[in-house]
Amino acid sequence: MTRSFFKGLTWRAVLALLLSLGFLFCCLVRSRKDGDVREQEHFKQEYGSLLLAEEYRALNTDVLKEHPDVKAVYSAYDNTGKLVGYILDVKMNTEIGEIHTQMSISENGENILNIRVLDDDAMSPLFSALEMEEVRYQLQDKRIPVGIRRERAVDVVSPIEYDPLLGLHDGVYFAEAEKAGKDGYLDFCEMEVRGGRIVRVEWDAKNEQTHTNRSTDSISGEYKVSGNIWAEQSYRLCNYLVMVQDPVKLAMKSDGMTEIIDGVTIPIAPFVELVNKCIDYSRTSYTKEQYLASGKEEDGGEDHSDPTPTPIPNPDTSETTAAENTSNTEPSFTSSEIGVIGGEDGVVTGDSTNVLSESIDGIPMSEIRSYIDGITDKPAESAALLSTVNQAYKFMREYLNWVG
Amino acid sequence: MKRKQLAPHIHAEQPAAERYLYVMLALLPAFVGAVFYYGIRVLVLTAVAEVTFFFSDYYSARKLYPEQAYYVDYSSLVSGLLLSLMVPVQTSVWAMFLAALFGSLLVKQAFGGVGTNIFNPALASRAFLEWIVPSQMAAVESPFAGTWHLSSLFTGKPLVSAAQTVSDSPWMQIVSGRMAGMVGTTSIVLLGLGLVILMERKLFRFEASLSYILVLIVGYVPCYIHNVDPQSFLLWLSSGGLLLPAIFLLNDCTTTPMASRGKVFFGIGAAILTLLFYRFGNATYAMIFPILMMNMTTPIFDYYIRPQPFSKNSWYREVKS
Repeated sequence: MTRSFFKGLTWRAVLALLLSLGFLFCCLVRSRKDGDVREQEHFKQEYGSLLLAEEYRALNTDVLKEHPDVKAVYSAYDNTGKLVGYILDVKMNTEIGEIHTQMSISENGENILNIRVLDDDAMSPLFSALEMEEVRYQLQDKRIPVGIRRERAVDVVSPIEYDPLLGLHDGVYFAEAEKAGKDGYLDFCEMEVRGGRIVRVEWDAKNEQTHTNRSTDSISGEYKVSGNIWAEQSYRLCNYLVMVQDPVKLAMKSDGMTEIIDGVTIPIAPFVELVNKCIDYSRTSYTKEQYLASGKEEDGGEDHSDPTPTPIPNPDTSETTAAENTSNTEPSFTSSEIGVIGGEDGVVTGDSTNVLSESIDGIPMSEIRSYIDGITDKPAESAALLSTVNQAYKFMREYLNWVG
Repeated sequence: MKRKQLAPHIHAEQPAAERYLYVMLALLPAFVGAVFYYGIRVLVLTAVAEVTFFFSDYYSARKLYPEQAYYVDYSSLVSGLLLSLMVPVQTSVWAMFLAALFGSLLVKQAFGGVGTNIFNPALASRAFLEWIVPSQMAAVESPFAGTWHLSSLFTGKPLVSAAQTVSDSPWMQIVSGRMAGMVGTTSIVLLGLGLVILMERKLFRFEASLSYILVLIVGYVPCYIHNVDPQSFLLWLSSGGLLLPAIFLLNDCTTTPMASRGKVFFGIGAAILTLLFYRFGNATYAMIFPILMMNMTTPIFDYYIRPQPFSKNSWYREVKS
């Protein structure tokens, strides 16, 4: 074999090597592109009915390891690349056995948009098509976490009955502050009346810039107040109002504070103002749906709500009233005595026999943002379904906090 | 120094060693593809096969055939490389070592050494692997399943399930060879590049390969009547590892007939047996045993169908005139 033979062999070998590698890399690049397209088509087929988007990306986050029930999470984007929501695949063991659901959550992680149950056994589905449609309807656009209304009803029964305000009509009422406060949050309040009694009150605020809620921000540590976190204080305040039925009995002082509710150190004036509005609306049957449909307060909230306007408590009179009521209410009704609030975060632990009354799926009642009726004939199945929703909420809470 | 050399005697000025080096060069694209898709384990398996084949051939030839002991023609390296390309990636190094030893000692040297073996050593070694480690041969892994994994190199346990899906489209699989199979047999393009190198060096005789492929095409229709289209055929051809034998094993000058007509019959016979194996037997065997069986017929073909002497017809014409 000659030198020229080896020379020829070498350059042919180099050429063959380069051609082979070039070909293989081209194939790989093309394959990945094709794979991406096929993957997106698959995602659209799989999740388009839950949340239609142009692109779905699987989230690969450490938070998933801490939530083994959340099997997969995808973020969904529209054609401009804007985040439109999340798809969560949750499979967990519940009292009725294993349940597997897929749901879409809004881009801010606060609302459930759609949900479906994946039945392993197609012959005996968890919900019939009609029932599933009903659940989906109930859950659509609800803020998470979600509870079954029965649980809430158990929760709000006070051991000591206070006389309700007169003239309240049953329904859900809503009021929102006219403008955001200095901290950038717009306060809002939701009140539910049943049987002429206030059975549920929720007070929260939305940050107009970040579109996050004050309660969420306080839980994540972004919104700080002295004493307990804001969400817990709000929860205590709302529960106290449910118990005493009258905002006057909150004993708000002229500086907008109260001293009669354990663990509440924040100003309660915005709350009292909004609750009074809700009470007004209740007396005139101006429900939340009507309120929201009418474009809220900026285009005439008062116009709709004010046929018999109830004055917002005057600080002076409030102080007087509070002073009068303090002596009546404070000694006998502290939150710890009435059992409204369990532990620091509202979760009852240990030997409590009333766990359900204080938490749902391990989430403090103060965090439960919506209630649905579920399927009446299938309470356990409905609860199991909501457990997956609440599991998704836990993941989203941690994930968004981590991302932020 | 004039070398004493056994058959095959090539009617060219090119020494056998150069031919074998070019055959190795033609196998280079398939080898690169195998390393690209299956990683470092292919390198290790190839090294084991090459080293075993080479040294076993060299030392056994020195012992058994002292007259040709000084002669190295690189056919051992071609056999080692061919063998390593025809195995699944999870083949253990022990099995590879034994197979190479078997091919070298019992298939090649036992029959007189280089140029006198009846069976193709690489293919016989591959058949030997089917016998000693059938489980390792049965479970093929998908490309990129364990590029840097060496953990099961000695145990031969699969890294992942053979049922792992490949996301490429069928056409992409055919072109790129990115599909589960024997490590160096799946890419039509890379094997085709090897064919171009052989043809450029005039080392490729198309008779056996072409007749083999043509009969496979014709026979594919009745065998797979439910799924007859070019895409399915090419997928079947490449996933079954039939192209590498068609290009390289049917072109082996030692174990295939010398005459063109003999090569044609050889190719037809191998293809018919391949189809029968596919239709009624084991698909993996279809790559191996038909050609081995036809190897046995090579002496018969060479006896009855002899190469036509160069310009015989014109010589006869001249004599007659």
